[in-house]
Amino acid sequence: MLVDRAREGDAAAFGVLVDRYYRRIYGVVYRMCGPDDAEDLTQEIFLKGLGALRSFQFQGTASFRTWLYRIAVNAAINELRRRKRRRQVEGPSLDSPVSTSDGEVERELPDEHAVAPEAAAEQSETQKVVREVLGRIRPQHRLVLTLVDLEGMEYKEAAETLGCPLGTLKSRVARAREAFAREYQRYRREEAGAGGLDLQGSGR
Amino acid sequence: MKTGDRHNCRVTRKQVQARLDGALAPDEARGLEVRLAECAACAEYAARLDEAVGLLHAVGPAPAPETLRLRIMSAARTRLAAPPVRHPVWRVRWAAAAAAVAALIAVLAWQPRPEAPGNVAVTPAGPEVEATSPDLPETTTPADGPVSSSTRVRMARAATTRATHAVYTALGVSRPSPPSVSAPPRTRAGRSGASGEAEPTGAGRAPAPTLLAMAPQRVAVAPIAAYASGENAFADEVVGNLVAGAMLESYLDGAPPGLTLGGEGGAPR
Repeated sequence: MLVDRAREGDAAAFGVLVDRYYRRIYGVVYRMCGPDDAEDLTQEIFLKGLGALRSFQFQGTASFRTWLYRIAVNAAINELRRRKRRRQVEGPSLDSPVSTSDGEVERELPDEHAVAPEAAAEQSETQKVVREVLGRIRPQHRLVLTLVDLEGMEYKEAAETLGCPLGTLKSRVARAREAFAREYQRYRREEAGAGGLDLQGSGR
Repeated sequence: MKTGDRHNCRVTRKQVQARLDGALAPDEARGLEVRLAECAACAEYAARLDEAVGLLHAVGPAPAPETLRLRIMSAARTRLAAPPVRHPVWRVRWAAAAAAVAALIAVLAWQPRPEAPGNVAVTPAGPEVEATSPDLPETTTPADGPVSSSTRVRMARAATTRATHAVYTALGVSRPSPPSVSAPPRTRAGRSGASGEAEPTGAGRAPAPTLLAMAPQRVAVAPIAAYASGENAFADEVVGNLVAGAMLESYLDGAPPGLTLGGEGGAPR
């Protein structure tokens, strides 16, 4: 088995595992934490997974993929916490109001989400909108949407990854979608307002 | 258009969600269309949800840079070259089993025994706590009648100490030098009878256990014993620390939360 061979130090076997999963792991990290450290974090997750594999912490009760996802989710949450802590230690400088020609504008970014609008990874307008709106909702919501609606994970596997019952996961997805839809509406209103247009016709 | 009642709307919205997952049969989908035509609020809900989630589906997974694979592989090279570390799994399992047994004993120790009136708890003090696990059932005679809360607190702590000790013994890990972190209550058995207000003799020299003094195994059994004796605040504190510790462990190691006993984790600080 591939996992056993990787555990014994077979680089080719580990390479197959990396090849199979790195895009998905990267996707989770990217959506959860933003593009800034996504590559570093992905690498870290695989090294962590390899280390755990080699010290026999993976016993093969769950599928390797689910197990790796779990490591990724934990790492992403941990990273968000770390950033939040760092900001608390460093004080409010990063979150202070932005001065513009129109006066001071409050930064409206949620504090735990790194948003770098100039990031090169920005590929399309839709990508940008999704990332912006995802950044506004709670990390818990972002997490389930990332797994289910972006990564296309089955409910069952997502429930295993997050360690919650299937029914709980389904209602979490439903709530997260509603939150996303709400924030998306708000985002559109803001965009329309900024452009001096009311594209939506009827705001709530 | 009329607005449906609350129950129907809830069902409709559930189906809107299911439709997004492609989980609706054709006839269900048709039924949904009919209901959406009848309820303006649900129709708006569906339109907004479909649009927003459609956006997510359209975007799909974030595109990973192709170079990332190589980067991971080169970073992993040294780790792959090293021999695998044999984790003493049997030891962890042993500890988990021992903790479960110890916790069970601790819980059982608090069951009042109404059929034995006058028999107040007799629990060992000091050195007797050093007894090995097979002796534990005998040394934890249950109390009967009303017992003061402070006594119950002390009993909980004593049970925790004993339960922990059972784990230590099972693991073959040496124990801290003081025979008991908290002295178990010694009641005036056979003399005070059913007075209930049992006074522990060892209370004066028994410092309350602090979480810092607890090894992971101890923390695992402590809340069970504490909850069983009604010492909820203490139990909450322990549970909080247990959860925090487990989460921290899992984040650090990438392993699912659970009882993990490394070589250094076996002995209390």
